[in-house]
Formats: sequence, C-alpha cells, structure tokens
Amino acid sequence: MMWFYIFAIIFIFLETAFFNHFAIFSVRPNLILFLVAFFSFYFNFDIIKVLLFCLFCGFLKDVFSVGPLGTQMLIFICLGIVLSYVSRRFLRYKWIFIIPLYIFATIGEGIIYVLIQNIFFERSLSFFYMFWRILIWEAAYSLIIFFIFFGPIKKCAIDKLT
Amino acid sequence: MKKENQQLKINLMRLEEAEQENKRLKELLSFKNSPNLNIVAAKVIYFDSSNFRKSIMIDKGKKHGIKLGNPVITKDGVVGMVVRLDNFTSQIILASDLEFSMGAKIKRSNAIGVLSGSLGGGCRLRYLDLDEDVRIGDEVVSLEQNSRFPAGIVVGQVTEISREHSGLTIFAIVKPKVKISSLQEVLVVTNY
Repeated sequence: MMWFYIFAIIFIFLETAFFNHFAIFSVRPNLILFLVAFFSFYFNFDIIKVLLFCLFCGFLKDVFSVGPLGTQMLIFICLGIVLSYVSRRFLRYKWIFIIPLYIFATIGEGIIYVLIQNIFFERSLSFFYMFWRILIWEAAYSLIIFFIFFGPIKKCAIDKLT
Repeated sequence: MKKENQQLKINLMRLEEAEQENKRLKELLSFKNSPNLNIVAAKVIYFDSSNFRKSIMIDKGKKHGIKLGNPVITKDGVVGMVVRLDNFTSQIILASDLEFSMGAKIKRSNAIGVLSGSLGGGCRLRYLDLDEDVRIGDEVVSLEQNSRFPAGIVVGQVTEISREHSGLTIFAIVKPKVKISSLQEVLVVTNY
C-alpha cells in the first residue's frame, strides 16, 4: 500500500513541474485523481485507509495550489467515500470499469468543486462551462497518460495487493 | 572513447541550455533597466496542481523586497500578481486565474474595461460600453489610472467579442500574450 503513497508523490511532481509544458487547451492530466479513484474502488480497503489516502492526496494537491487549503482534501474524501461504497456493489476486479470510473471521478470532482466555490466563496461558477472547457479534456488526457503508468503501478502496487 | 563521446554530448547539451538561459536573461535585463521601475527577477519553481486555478510559485519573497499585490510581468507582458508571500518564495496568480482582475484598455480606441481571468484559462475584458470601438485583433494594455500595474504593459489580443447576459455592456475575450507553459523567469515590479 505504501507504493500508492509513493506514486502520489511522484504524480504531484509530474503535474506541477512537467506536464505544464505539455498542456492541451491549458489543461493537464490529473493523475492524483486517478490514483484516488483507483485506490477507493478496486481494493476492498477499510474506509479509514481510504480516507487517509484521500486526505494525503488532497493535502498534496492543496499544498501546490493557490486555492484555499482543504478544498481538494474535501473533494477527494467525498469521492473516496462514494467510490468505496459503490465498489461493494460491483465487481471490483473488472478492469473494464477503469474508464467509466475515471469519468465519474472527474465529473464528481467538478461538481464538488463548483458546489464548494459557489456555496462557501459566493462565486457563480458554471459546471457545464467547466465540463466542456476543462473536465472533458482532463479526463481524456489523464486516461491516456495513466495507461503509460499503469504498468509500473500494477507491478509495484496492484500485484502485491491482489 | 564511447564514454568520452557521451560526456561531450552532455557538455554540449548543457552549453546549449546555458546559452538559451543567457539569451532569456539578457532580454529580461533589458526590460529590468527601464527607468522608474524597481524590478526583482525571479525563477518559476512550480505551477498550480489544479486545472481550475492558474498560479505559479517563484523563488523570491519578502527578503527580496517583494510585497503582496506586486505586479508580475515579463518582456512580453502581464503575468499576474503576488497573492501569497514567504521569506524566500511568493505565489503569483496568473492573469487567466478566476480571482485576478485589473484595469485595462484597448490600445487603439482607449476603450476602458476590467480585465479578469476565467475558469477556462483565458481573460475577459468586461464592462465595455455597447458603442465602444472594439475589434478582433486589438491589443489590450494596462491602464494609466490603474494602481496595480505600470501603465501600457501589454496583456494580450482580443479574439472574440460578445454581449454580457444583462445586454447593457459587451466583453472581449483576450488571449494573453505571455505563454504560460514556457514561462521560466519573471519580473516582479516592486515599485513604479
């Protein structure tokens, strides 16, 4: 399980220092979100372990962002709870779920972000604008990039857990 | 022989990189020497981790004379503004961030508006009067009366013009001139 934490640290450095030079329509892949969705959905982890991992990933995202500390932590915790709950009603080891899982996580992240901003910070962000301008590109880009990293993640983390 | 060849290749790459950095710094230096501007040059450390926000961290802070709200520019134009400050680092929100705003005008017609960032990463010049002369391709610059930025700093070019929901004013979508993805060094204006 420690490998997931190591990959989270690697991904945050890639997101903040490397992928910025390869942004598509100013959008970079969100690999940490993928890791959170993956961790919460595919393994029958205890909810505490899921929450701890979501908190850790959210903290990493918040530290490297100008947004208020806690926003990403809250988003990831909500996603972690929902996904680990949903995973108990599905077949966890069907890899076919990866694509819909990630799209669901991306949309979920967008909805929670808009809700947080509009409720707590009195903005008037539009989810649909965000969806067409950011989320759709983020999901596509992340899926492509994630499959590059899937090999090492499978070898280091997944094979040892399953 | 192979090792030596590899070493030479690495040295050549380093030299090329140093030459490029030298060129960039020379360009920045020519801007830095402009009269009436106190400027601190800084390197970009990292970019914002979220796709919803646009910010950068630079390697200069309080100890170098930077204050909250200081404008950040490059030789190409406006980059953003200092929003968080530490002794040796500062966080800058970019002009395309949704929290950014400044006074700006169309250089050709002097039409005045408020420039703000948007969720998608571009900028909008808002609250322009319906009868203002705004055309696609017009250059947008910072305002003389603006207290945040020195006057006449280029922001970008108008790419689209639309009417606001209220129908009372128009807004222009502005493409920032500074290319964020290749941003490596910036200038923080500490006094002007």
